[in-house]
Amino acid sequence: METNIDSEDDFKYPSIFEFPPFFTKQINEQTWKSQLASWDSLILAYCQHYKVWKLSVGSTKNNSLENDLVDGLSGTSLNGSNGSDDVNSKLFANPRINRALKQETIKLIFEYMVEKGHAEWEKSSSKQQIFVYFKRPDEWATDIRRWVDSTGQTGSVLTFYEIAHGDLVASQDFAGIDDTILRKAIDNLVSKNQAVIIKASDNQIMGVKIL
Amino acid sequence: MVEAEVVSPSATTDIGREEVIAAVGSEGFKCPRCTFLNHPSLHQCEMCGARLISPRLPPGLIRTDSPGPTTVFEPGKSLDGTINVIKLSFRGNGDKSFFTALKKALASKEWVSASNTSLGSGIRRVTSAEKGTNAVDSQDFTPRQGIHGLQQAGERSRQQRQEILGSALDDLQGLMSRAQDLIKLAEQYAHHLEKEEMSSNNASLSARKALRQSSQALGLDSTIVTKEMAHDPEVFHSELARQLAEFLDNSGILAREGGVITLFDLFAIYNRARGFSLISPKDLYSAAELFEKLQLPIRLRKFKSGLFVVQESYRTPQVIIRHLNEWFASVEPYKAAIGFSPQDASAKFGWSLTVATEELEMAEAQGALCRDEQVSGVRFFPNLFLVN
Repeated sequence: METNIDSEDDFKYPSIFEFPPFFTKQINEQTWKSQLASWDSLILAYCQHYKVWKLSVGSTKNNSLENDLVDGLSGTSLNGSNGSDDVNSKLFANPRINRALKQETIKLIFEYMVEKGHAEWEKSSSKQQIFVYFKRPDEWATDIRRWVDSTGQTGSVLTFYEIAHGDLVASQDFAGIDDTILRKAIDNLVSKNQAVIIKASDNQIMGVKIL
Repeated sequence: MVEAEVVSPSATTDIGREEVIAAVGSEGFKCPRCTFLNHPSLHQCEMCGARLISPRLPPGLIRTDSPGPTTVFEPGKSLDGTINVIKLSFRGNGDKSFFTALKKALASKEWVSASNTSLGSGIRRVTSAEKGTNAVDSQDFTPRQGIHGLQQAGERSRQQRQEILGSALDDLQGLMSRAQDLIKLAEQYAHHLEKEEMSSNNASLSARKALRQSSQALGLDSTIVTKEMAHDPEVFHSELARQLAEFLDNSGILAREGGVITLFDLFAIYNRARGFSLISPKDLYSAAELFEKLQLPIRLRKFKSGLFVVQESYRTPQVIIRHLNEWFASVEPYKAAIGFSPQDASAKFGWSLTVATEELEMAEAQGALCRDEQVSGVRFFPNLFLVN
């Protein structure tokens, strides 16, 4: 997987993305395991590149290959903040070879990623969306703590918004981090007694103090 | 009065001419036996053939102890003593009613049904016949009655059955020998065509070739193994296996089918080649199972789907995969980019479509290929997942 993570250029798909069988669930167990691993690393690389925090199996509306392809061709922005449909049409379909993954196959890939610890179901009951962990919450926690330390903000109270979207974090990996993932990272720090969550009198979370 | 045999008056007689003339005046000779009134000029009774004695003879000449009513009439008696002719005489119009009764009896052929009736009724017949002493005589010339009659009837029906069975089996054997002749003829024809093909080079060559192929497919070189020849089913199946191997080798069918033939196709082709005394699918399967044990150059193989094929023994999955890979490597990149369908493989290797699909799926199961499922069907690719 030769992808330049820091590049602002378009994501470079691996060569297997041009391989038609890549979009068909393989019957041979061994082949399928290998295919899953390929998808896993592709998804992680893609999400890291475009800062995609959440992926969904598919939209609730009729999500045919044709719609996906049209959406994909007409889409202008590759930013992860776009709807997951748009991401799916980029990530799980290749209009150049006219192939796309079926939703049930996407779901199987997600299950594999969850099993590997590379993702987590948003709701494990419905299994429709995953948080993509190209870095796990504890890794994010380490990153955030290092950033706080390096910028001399230790002991000061920071809001969640500041950590995720503040001007100072723009160059950081966790810029634009999903609220839920950020909360999981902070919870990780709290469990290690490295952070304290500051609550207002009405029990509203005001911010976090990294120690 | 009645139909009667006219006896020529050739016999010598001691009756004088005078007496004869005198007798004419009277009412004629009265037969001493049957009382028929004969013409005075006759010496023997017109009706029963008994000698007529003139009533005018002196009483001393009349033999009172003349023989009784001998019913035997010499000309009618055959050599073995059975009576073939019976003469009946009637007086007072009894003949008409008798004749109708006789005709009726002849038409209904009661004796035929009597011989066919069960033993019980036969016994009843015998006992009733024994009661009447007069009837004992009649048994001699009606052999359908009595124990002897029963035996004869039994013997006759036994012979009849044997005849039927014999002729039926004859027909079967005739059919068998004909079939063999037909196959021989087909072989001769094939040889003839082969020679023709060598000598001449005209447009109908391909037609000839097709004909030759079909007649080749028709004939078996060795004698046909039948269940009857080998009483032990195991021996039969192993012989059958050997013949199948030979058949597939000689006929070139296996080569034409790309080294693999489904058991169904083999069943059809082989039975067509036998022509008669066909084998059952079960026999074929049992024989095919023995290929490996008998170390024949062919093997029975079961595909994942349950399809049975017979193939050349060297065609192991590894060999097939190697062939497939060599094929993929030889194909131009732009063609390889869209993968390979079972149809492509079928065209390339001469496999039937079923076999092609099975072989590709086998290669896939072995990890050599992977699939690309489309609405238009499945296409196969070299497995890049496992190469990387």
